[in-house]
Amino acid sequence: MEILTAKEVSFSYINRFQRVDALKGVSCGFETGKAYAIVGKSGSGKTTLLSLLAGLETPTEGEVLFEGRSLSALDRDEYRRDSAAVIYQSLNLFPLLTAEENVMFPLKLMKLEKDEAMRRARAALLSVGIGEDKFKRLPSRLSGGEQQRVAIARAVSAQSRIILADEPTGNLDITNGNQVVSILLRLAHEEGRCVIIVTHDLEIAAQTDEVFMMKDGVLERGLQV
Amino acid sequence: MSPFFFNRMKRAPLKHICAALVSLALSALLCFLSVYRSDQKAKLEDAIDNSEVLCVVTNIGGTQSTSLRMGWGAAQAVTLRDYYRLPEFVRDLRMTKELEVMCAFGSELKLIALTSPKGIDELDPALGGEVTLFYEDFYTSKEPLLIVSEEVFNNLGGETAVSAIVTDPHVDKRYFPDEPDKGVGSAEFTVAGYYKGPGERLFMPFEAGELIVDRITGSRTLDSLAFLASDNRRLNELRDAASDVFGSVIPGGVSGEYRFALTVHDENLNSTVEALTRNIERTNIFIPIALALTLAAGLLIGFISTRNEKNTYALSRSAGMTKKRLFASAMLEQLLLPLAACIIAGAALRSPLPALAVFALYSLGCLIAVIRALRVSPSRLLREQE
Repeated sequence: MEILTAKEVSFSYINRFQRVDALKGVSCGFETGKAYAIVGKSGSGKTTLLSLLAGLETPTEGEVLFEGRSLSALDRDEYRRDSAAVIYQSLNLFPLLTAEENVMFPLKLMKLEKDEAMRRARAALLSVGIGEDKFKRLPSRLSGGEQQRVAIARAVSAQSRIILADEPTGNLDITNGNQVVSILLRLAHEEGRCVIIVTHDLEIAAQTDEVFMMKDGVLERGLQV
Repeated sequence: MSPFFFNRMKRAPLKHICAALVSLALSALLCFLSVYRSDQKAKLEDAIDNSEVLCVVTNIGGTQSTSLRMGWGAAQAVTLRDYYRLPEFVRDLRMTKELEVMCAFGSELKLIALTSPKGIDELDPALGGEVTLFYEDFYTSKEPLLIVSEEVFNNLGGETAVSAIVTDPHVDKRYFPDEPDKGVGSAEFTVAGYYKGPGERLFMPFEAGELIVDRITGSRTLDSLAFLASDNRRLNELRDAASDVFGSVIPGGVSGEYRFALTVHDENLNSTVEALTRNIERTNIFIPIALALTLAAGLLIGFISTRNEKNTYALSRSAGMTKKRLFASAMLEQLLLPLAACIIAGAALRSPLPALAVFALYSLGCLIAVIRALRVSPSRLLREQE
């Protein structure tokens, strides 16, 4: 069953100079237990689609459905807090919070007790390969790969059923990039989450279960090289 | 409040300390200006209410304030409320009548009948005078009492009764060829006190002196008249009322209408009022400048401090933090230490209102900066990255 669906979604915004039609009648569906890739050139609208799927923007036309209910009818803050985690290419972590606190952040928003939040955060950090010695480190003292894994751990600990990752390996070397991708794929295939990855990297896209191609605001199913 | 709010503050102390110090300095500045203005206003009120503005009757040329030989009408002009406007503006009236006496301890001695010791070197403590009086109400007495010098008092050896011949030196005998004794008469005095030092002048109560003058000349006259203005805020009204009776000083001393002039010595009051008013006006300019500075500081510090927080705000929103909570948290972060600083400054300088005003304006500046920073949506940041 589709957990997340975009129905004829269009989105326009005004930048400094002109109106930009970022998405034009995009329709697609995403299921739990699968990993998806959205590929496309810069400015093609893939990040905008991710924002709409995350409830950070409202479609100009059409709608985004979460479990069959329109996001516009839901509390979108609650949706992100409880169901959809977003992982960015960079600036993923709060720079003044330790790795552990970064992971605990959404759990505190969910009003979990401190002990329970800490237990879940530590377990999530360990599950993505961050050792105890790095729990108390600030992001500035973590490598790019570690920072990305902490960001994933945040999604893991919050038990978000949807993970939206925007170029998660964009700033990483191949080894770290592969690690991050394998964690994301594991979350989809072993933990039954819906993972949507926006990427330039066709090799990463090839590892996912389904690929969407974004071109000039139009989404097409399948990879066309 | 944002999760781990205090941890974040603790790990970036510099900007919060800077904000607190700026708030403290601005609060202290505004409190100081406010306290200074209040102080200057109080001094101004005090100067106007309590300064002694001396009004002195002189000859019309302004060269002489004693031995004026004024008619009794001058005294009535400052005392009879039912007939004149001037008494309303008079307090601490000082009148003298100059006489000469001949008695056992000297001839042609100066005898001054007076209403008040003020302005008299021998009697006025403010001028170094020191008097021992045996009668408390000496200056209002109608009895022929005398204050003599300490030296004369000692020479009297405890004797208090003094017989004397009293002369009004201002009686022009040419006008009274048939009355050789006009202006001369005998009188019995009682020594009522003495002033320190040698000195040849004698003093007696004004009313008692006037009774003697009336007896020996057939009329009352006085030789000096001065008073303090009763209300320094109505000096122009006083001048107007005085013009019914007295002229203004005319250099050269000729006036067809008036023989005497009243001079209001308000120069000191005017210069004090002018200086204090100038200070208040300057403060009135500085206070809005300080307030504008506060707003600017709030804006500037707010912008600087939120400039690098946009990603944090975007991240918080994408983690599901509500706009309201994020806004409250951001504002609290900007204002917590400045609030403490303003409270400290207000309490230390006992001037809570200016500190409150500083905090309000600083908050407004921060509010604008925070709203501006929070307007950046996470998706816009993502688009910019893309």
